[in-house]
Amino acid sequence: MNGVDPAPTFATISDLGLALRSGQTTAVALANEALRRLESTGRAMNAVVTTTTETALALAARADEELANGHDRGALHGIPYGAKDLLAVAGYPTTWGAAPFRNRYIENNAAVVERLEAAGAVLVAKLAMVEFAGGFGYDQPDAAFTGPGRNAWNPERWAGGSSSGSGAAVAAGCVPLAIGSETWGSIHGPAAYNAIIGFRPTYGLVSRHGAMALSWTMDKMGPMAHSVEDCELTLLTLAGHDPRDPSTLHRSAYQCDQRREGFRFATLTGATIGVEAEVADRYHEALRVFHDFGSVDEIRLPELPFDAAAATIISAEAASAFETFLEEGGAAELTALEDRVALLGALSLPAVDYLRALRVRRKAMAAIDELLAPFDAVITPGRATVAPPIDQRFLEEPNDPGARTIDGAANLCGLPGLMMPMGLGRHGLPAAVGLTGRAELDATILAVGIAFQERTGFHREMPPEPAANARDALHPS
Amino acid sequence: MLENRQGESHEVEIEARVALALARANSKLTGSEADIVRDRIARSIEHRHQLRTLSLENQDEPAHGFDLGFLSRPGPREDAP
Repeated sequence: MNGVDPAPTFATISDLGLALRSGQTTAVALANEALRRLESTGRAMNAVVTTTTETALALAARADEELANGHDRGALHGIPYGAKDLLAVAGYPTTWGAAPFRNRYIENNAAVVERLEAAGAVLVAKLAMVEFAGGFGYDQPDAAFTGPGRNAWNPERWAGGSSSGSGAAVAAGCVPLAIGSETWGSIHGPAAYNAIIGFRPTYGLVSRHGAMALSWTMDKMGPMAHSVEDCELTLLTLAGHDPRDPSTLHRSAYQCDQRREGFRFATLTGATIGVEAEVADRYHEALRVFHDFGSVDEIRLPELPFDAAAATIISAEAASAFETFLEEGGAAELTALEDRVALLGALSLPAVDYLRALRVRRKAMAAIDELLAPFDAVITPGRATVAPPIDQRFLEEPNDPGARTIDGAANLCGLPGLMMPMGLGRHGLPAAVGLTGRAELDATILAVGIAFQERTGFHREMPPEPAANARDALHPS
Repeated sequence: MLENRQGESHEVEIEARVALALARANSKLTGSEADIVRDRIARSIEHRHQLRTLSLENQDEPAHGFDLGFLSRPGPREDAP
């Protein structure tokens, strides 16, 4: 993805920035191209809820005028992006992916939207998502009023959830940057299945103000893009305390980690149990790359009920956040059958169970921090499989009880994580490698990711369909 | 069927929780919908069993987010007694 030709929205933010500042393109041209792709390819993938054309063209024109006058807001100046539709944007519906809210307006911008606008970024779309970010208990891809999120590499495969539109839109070259959210896997899943970069920041690094609350103590907002550098450029804008979100950290400004070698890595005992053979093969190939720029030791996750604690906390907090909605019968209008009723069960979850989960969480945080202290990152297979068929229920997926994954522990304990492509697996679909680090060492994880990218080219691979068709349509021979 | 520590079925708890949830939501469910709710409640009970595998002491506190910092009011008046 070097340079901006032939498909500008497949280019990295850095390359687009060079093109903008050299006069090769304009913010208005980029916005128009992004809007056109969103309305064609994006709609076909069920990745788009609303295109924000009027706002986009106004912001883009402002960006061009400012650059012409020597006012440069920085790396994101003039860059088109999409926001997961759980982020409030004044003047446009904020649907949370749920049919009952398809015409609901919230007249204040979310904090991340404010920050990106101040940095000169151009919002072009609100992107599709699983209804209520998957917190109502969905167990199949068709769980959004916009339809099941289709994968950019094969529309008969799932884009992942719950940030399905964010993942597919970036992968298909509709936008070079999207904002997703993760409570438990919602950035990492779509990033892995679509071969893009997804970054889950430390809990509290990015303000949740103006974002739908699913689980106050587990929700995180993060960037999804074509390169790790793009994620870091975005994080530089998003990170920081916000008095409107009491969970945001009081810390000094985010500092990049410039290291590119000499890292200390860990792998997990049992990490490939239950993992598809082709994904495991790519993982072992990736490990050889990590050996080039760091030491690799094997560690064992402590036998703590990470996943049970995370599930209990999310259920209790989601039931509380949507208590009135549930009691008034609003869930009956949701798309997925299980979403209409499953969370009702959490209305009778005992308080002592929730509190036990929070007490376990404190123990888990201490244990995992001690385990990770000697390491810069834990390397794991990003997902056990490639993207599943669009019509497959999750319960049909292989589920090996011996499998050891770090996702539940990382989300329970608020740890940063990076998802990166590591080649192709079964059916020519993307496989991904995940990195997890200690809380607040986001910059370290991103430095590791940049070093991995410099030694591989996986992040530059583009999907054959439908994105290539969209590109060809824009650049006919 | 899940069992409690005495080896008894959790059916009583599941049905009681289903009834409580439906009463709160003033909701009537079809048979298949009720089965989904039962399944999720059964899963939450399984999670409780897993959580109990970790021993906790009396003073092991929850990882709460309780914070007075959001109160943007001034401090005590200087002339207060």
